[in-house]
Amino acid sequence: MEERKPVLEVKNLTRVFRQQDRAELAAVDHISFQLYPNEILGIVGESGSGKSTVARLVTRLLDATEGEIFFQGEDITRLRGTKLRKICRQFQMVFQSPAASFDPRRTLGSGIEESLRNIGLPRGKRQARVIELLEMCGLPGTYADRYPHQVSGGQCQRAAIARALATDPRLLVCDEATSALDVTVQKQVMELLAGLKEQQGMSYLFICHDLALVQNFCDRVLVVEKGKIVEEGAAGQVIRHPRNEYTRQLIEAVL
Amino acid sequence: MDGLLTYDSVEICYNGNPVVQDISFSLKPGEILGVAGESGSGKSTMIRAALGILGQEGMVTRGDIWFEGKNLPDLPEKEMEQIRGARIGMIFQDTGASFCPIRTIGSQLHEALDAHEKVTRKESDSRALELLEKLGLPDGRRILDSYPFQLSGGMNQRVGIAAAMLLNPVVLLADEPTSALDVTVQRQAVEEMLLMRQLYGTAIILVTHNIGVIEAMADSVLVLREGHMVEYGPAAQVLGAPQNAYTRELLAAVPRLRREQPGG
Repeated sequence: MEERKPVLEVKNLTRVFRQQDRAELAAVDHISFQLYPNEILGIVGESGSGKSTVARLVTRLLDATEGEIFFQGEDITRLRGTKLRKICRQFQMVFQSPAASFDPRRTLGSGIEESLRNIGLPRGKRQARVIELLEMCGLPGTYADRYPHQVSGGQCQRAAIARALATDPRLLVCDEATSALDVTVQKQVMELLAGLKEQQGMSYLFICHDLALVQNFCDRVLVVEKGKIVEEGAAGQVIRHPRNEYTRQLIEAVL
Repeated sequence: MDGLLTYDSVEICYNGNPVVQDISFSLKPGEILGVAGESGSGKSTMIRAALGILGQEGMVTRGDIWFEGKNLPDLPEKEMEQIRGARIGMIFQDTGASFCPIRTIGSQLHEALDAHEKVTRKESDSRALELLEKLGLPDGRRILDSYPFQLSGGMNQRVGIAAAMLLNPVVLLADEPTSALDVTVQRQAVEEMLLMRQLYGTAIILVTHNIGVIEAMADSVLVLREGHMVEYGPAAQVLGAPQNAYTRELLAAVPRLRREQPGG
């Protein structure tokens, strides 16, 4: 088998939050994992387990206290300024609340265009690209002129995905990207994500508390408890045959 | 009719536009009715109408909502105040947000009780403690002395469920009561509500987009789509052999966990 290099590799990643009058909290505690090209890696765990902190660390929205993050082999843990901005294009995030991730006073199109401007696409080419991106995500191009409150939650999330794709990323970090959506809409968005992965050859870091969704969508899964990885493996295997007690509890609690 | 709470051809409008139309169902004492549907389908509007909390723009424009021989939309506000909370209770999605952040849980539970039956703080505390213990919430005293922010989201929600039960309503309207919770806590909240029904015979209307929760709790199921009832019947029938195409689509979209059966 050909040896594949990970898109994302994280070594001993740690983030400590210092709180006044309280003990330090290691929200992410010496976590290591690799994400390979065209792979979907799920992270599951309860609220407060550190899932979202991992997402914010690997996308450099938050600085690591300890450990290293390698993106396509390059150490990006402490990158700053122009260098960081340049590498940031290659990984994008999709958040839980689609409406909250757009400026309510600007159209969806202008939100997407901002990303295009940031990567230096000339003004004349932006409009066409916005429409192309929206259509790629299953929205009519005319939605560029709509405001976030004029579209449904599912449509808004599609627009958020379109915006994430604007920079042509290699890695998409989805933090509970479908949790706020209805199941039928969730299904459509998942199908969109699955299709885009094939088309664009992307990798996903898929943070989600819905184990069934992770089982259906992810190749591998990390189970996180109190900032530590307690179990990892093929998604089907981990959920059907959990070895860790915490994983077992999570699975048993699913109704 | 033997129904405790009966909707008869109910239509609800916001600013004159109908958002819920032709809803008819009947809830029996002790029955749990699950209302499924997507966001915007009118689930919340439908149950809010029973309590007269549709806001300025909302109004029941057709049909009747019968409860204990009275048609709720016709009742004057004074009479609704007697029913709201005391006879028909309600739980919302985020109980932590419905509590006042700067007062302790105990003082707020006292306020709720005192509004309906004059009680001292001491009496309300002892009734609350008894209920919390029955519902299996650990360390009731600490809960009563806590501010909402000192409790976890899950604990706030479980306390909210207990608070709604303090006045021992015959009907409990629960609007997405477990949707903000982790699966493990969600399971506890579901078990708490089932225990309440067992202990007090409370009938529950459970509005949720979470089909798993409906499967675990409901005796009957009503499916709403764009303000219309598309299917209504016993849970086993609606979930097991849905007649309506939309119900089938909705059920098919639910991600299912494939797991080893425990012990088999």
